[in-house]
Amino acid sequence: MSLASFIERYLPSTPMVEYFSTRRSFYHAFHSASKLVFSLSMILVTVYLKSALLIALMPLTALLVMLSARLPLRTVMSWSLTPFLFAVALCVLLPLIGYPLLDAFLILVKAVVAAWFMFLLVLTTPMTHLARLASKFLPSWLADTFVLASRYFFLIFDEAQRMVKAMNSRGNPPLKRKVTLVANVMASLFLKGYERAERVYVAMTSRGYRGKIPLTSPERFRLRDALFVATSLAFSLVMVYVEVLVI
Amino acid sequence: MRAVEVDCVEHVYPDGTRALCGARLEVEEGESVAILGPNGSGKTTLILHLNGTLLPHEGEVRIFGESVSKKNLDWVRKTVGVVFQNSDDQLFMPTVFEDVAFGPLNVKPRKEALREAESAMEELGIMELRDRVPHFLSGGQKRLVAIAGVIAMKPKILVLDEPTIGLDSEARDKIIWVLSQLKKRYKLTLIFSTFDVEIVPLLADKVVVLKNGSVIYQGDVRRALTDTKLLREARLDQPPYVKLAEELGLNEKPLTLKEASALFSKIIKKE
Repeated sequence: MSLASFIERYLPSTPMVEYFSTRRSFYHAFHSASKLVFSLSMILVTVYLKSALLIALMPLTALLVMLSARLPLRTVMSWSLTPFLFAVALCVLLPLIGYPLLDAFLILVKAVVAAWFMFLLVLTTPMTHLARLASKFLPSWLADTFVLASRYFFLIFDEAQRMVKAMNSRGNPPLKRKVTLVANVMASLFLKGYERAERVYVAMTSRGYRGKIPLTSPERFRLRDALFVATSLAFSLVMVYVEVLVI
Repeated sequence: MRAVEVDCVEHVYPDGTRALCGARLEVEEGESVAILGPNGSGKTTLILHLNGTLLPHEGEVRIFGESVSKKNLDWVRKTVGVVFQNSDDQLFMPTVFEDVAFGPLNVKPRKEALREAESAMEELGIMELRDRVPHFLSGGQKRLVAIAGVIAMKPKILVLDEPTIGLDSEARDKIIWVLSQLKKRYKLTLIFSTFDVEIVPLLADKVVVLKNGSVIYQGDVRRALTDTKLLREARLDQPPYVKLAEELGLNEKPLTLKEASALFSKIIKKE
């Protein structure tokens, strides 16, 4: 499999993320803040749990919510390969330094499930809502970075894909050379990104930018959002309670 | 009143490239000016001087009589709206509406800013793109959104760097129509750089030709577009109807389809 087709298949692409995040479903309709609370609380609980039985409930929860959000499980599974490989790289070392094999396996499961909960948030919330959310909780420079990153990350990502495709269309070099070429692509992307950043800054200042990006598109926090947050937190507490006091 | 005066401007980039060498240019309020010139002639550098993105090393740029300097950049940027060549550099917000509203929200109360953003989008007929992500727009749509973002700031002078570059004919026609409407409705002073000689007679009242950072011609559109030597010097094509008239040995040289059709009907009737 070529690098380009690997990227296309196993890494999230802009059109796909955009397509899924703007679909309609019961889960999509929740306020972005309540979806963030749900994803974060589920990740924290997953990380906290030690019992294999309780940990097994977390991927099931993620899958059920994904189904309710009409997300394509196959695509999500393909995208899970990257976090899975990162986790595997760490987990294979753990038994070597004395960790039981089961613990290493559970860490692997936790890592992938955490990625699923993040996918759930990103694939059901439009970027503009996430950006608005970021601007409420983060200092303005960090929130602005998030807003700009949400616009330009995928642009640079697409550019990288085009460059890799162009590289492959001119022959299939041996692996060693391929690694050098990919490094060249990265360097070139960095330079392009730097130049673009300057041009974007000029465009922003010429439209009155004074150090804080203003955002529109307000979302309304409704009763159902409050109920959803309460349910998420209650579920998390129950899991922790069962872990600590029952098992 | 004189909207723009570029007086003996020189600009040298950090790598030593001399992009402008004593460029002189005058634009009256409400006038439309096309800046023509080959690659590397200094068109973009000149445009970046008009709203203070670049400041001259020598000489002076005056907007409505006020010399552009670091002290009055806010006012200059409110007065002169620039649409850059690459729309992706200009559309930095997550959605189209957020992008168009960006400028007004920086300088006006929220309600008024949102109203102005909406009215700019309506003006350009792009309301249906409101919630779209700029990344997925076509080249023409991106250009229109970039123009809307600048128009929403209500500038008195609109400057566009290669407004029709890379667009298909439908998108190009739409941009021409939009610019001519904006010019008519708001009596905007319009300055645009281009290689596209066909759009010049449709939009411009005056032509400025740049070569090696200097202005080699400033004046009448018809004279510039029928002057073979000047066009060759600026490495530009003659407009197609001028070329055809020359091939046919006609004295009259039509610049637009309308003029050409009037001329040829006259000839046909005579025969």
